[in-house]
Amino acid sequence: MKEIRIFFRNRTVSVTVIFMIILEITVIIKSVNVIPDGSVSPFFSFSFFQKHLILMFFPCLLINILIMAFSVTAERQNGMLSKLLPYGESLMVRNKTAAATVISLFFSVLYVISAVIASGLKTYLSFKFAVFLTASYIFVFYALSSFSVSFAFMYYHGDNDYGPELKQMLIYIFIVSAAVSSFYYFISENMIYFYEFITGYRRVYPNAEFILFMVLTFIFMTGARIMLKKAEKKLYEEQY
Amino acid sequence: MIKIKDLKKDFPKYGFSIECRHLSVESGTAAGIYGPAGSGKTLFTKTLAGLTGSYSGSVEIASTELKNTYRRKIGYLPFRNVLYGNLTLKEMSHYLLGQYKLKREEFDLKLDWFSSLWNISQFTNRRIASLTDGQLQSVKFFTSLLHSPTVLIIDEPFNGLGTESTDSFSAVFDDIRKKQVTVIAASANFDLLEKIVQISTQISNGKIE
Repeated sequence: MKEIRIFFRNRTVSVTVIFMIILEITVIIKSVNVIPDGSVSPFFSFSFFQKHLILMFFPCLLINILIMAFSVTAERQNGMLSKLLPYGESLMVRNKTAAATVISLFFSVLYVISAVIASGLKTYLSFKFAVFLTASYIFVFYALSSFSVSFAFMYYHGDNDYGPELKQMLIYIFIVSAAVSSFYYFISENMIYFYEFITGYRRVYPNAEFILFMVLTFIFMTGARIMLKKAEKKLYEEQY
Repeated sequence: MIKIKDLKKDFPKYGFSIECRHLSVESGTAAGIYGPAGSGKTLFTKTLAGLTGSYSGSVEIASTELKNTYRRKIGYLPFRNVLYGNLTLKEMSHYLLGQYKLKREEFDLKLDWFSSLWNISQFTNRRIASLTDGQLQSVKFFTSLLHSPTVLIIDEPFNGLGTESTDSFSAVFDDIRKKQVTVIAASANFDLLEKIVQISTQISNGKIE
């Protein structure tokens, strides 16, 4: 939790997070009474929810970008500190990833559930939905946070005390945006029964989709692990 | 205790190398390395702190080769601030104690001891970035001692210190030496350095005489 405190002590990070919360609250307020009274078809619910799902990725995206832009890059100056602490390189990379995952998860899940409640999507108002949503996002955010933190540690050199270079920032934003959009497109096209299952419309989860889900998780976790290891190695080999 | 034998470390980035044929500093002894700016003092202290990677020769810290030494044994006070400027001294200390797997109570104990020699308790709740150079040096010194290292390496100990602070620094310095901590301090200020160390040696163009 100390890492989260370090993130938020950065004024630019705090201001951006406040701005993001205002944005989320605005969307939630706008969601109230969007759905007309009366029975709502599952298709409409699903379609409406998907729209929120798209919006939900913005906090995640934004948080990962801002963490890298304002915090991790600034901390490259504190890289020497990691080399003085026992297993410091490993701790630095992993703690940043854990903190970024927790922040992303907190804001995104809270936002989705608030949006569901505000828009009156009763189908999604269940404990099962909240649990499945959180569990599935843990993997997504962990992989994305691993990528962000690894990218920052591997490709930012810390020579610039004022933050990352514009070119590096643009490359990062492009890569993350492309990755998130592709992921979202892939999920929408191939995992169509997931939300039906967690909302209770479907009692049995199809084996093919379950296998796909497990394979994806495995790929994400392996990829995250490789990236973090590389970042640790880079930090370990760095000379001050 | 620190024992250095035939140490050589190249820094291709700077076109510079550090060489030390022999240096031995017993426990409870302070050794001073003096030399002008650009003589290689900082690179030498960084090498001893294990920050610069592989080297040839031998550097033994308490009979263990540097590359195999548990980092907790070494305390390093760098010239540049590496502490989180957005945290207060108390928060930073708690963070470091957590990384060293030590209890938070250690902070109060260390603060009581340190403040009896050099009063830093007045700014424990101030952000590190808001401290003056002298205050920052005292905070850096304090945090480098939090985990009770057996060897302390200091780069430019008098950085930012006024006359009064220099006396306080010397008081802490003497006290840790009495606790059998081995100290190596590098500075360009020979006159001040000589007052606090038992043995001193010169560094010139990266070579320790």
